[in-house]
Amino acid sequence: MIPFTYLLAIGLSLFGIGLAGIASEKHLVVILLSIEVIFASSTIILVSFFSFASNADPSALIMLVSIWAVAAAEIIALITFYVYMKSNGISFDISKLSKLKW
Amino acid sequence: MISIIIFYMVFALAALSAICIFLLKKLSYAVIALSLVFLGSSFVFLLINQDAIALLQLLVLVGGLSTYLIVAVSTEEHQLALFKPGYFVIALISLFLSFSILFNPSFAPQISTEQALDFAASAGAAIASGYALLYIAVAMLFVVVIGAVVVLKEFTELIV
Repeated sequence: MIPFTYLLAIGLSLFGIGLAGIASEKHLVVILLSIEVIFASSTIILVSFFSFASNADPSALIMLVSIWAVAAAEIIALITFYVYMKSNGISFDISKLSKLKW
Repeated sequence: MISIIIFYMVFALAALSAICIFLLKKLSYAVIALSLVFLGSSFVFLLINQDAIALLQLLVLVGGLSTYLIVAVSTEEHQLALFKPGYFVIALISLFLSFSILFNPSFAPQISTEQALDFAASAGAAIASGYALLYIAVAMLFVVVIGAVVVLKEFTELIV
């Protein structure tokens, strides 16, 4: 029903919007939300390839679940950092988080 | 025909809410926009006739992850000053490229869908079946260990 290029188009546009969010934002949590958008676009492209293939390998679904697990675990790990930084008054502005810069 | 109209509506929902993540002033609004992006992605899965994946996307990402995020960031008041407008062009260029592929398919590479899918399948098999995945996992773990040691050192300096 829906041509294959339409799904690639939505994946590409979401990827570009997430990339622009990562490149242009200064707040740490918003950068992480843009990374989540890129995760969503990669799952769209993966499932569209899996759905349109004639002899699709079911390992694509295992990769999909792995991507979800990585995204969820990453969010959980980063929220603990968020709570720590908020309770200690550390700023979320990335231009001020410069201790690891050379 | 009706499915293509619905696809355009879902496209608009997902793209606009993804742009709203870094355009809205408050952090809690940005997290709600992220859950709208996941909702739009779930609609796309429904349009491909993958109903199980759409349901799992709703349950795991919207129901679990977005709920957790909204509860976790709900105490933040407002976010900081926003983006440099020059980098916003990346999003617009990618949107323009995707629309040009939609309206004129000759901009896309001139290979058949079967060839593209076979190439993607062989690339996926090469990544998953060889040792490349193991190398990538070990490299990521190494970076995480180094980063954790450095961060813990800095945090103990802050506590003490």
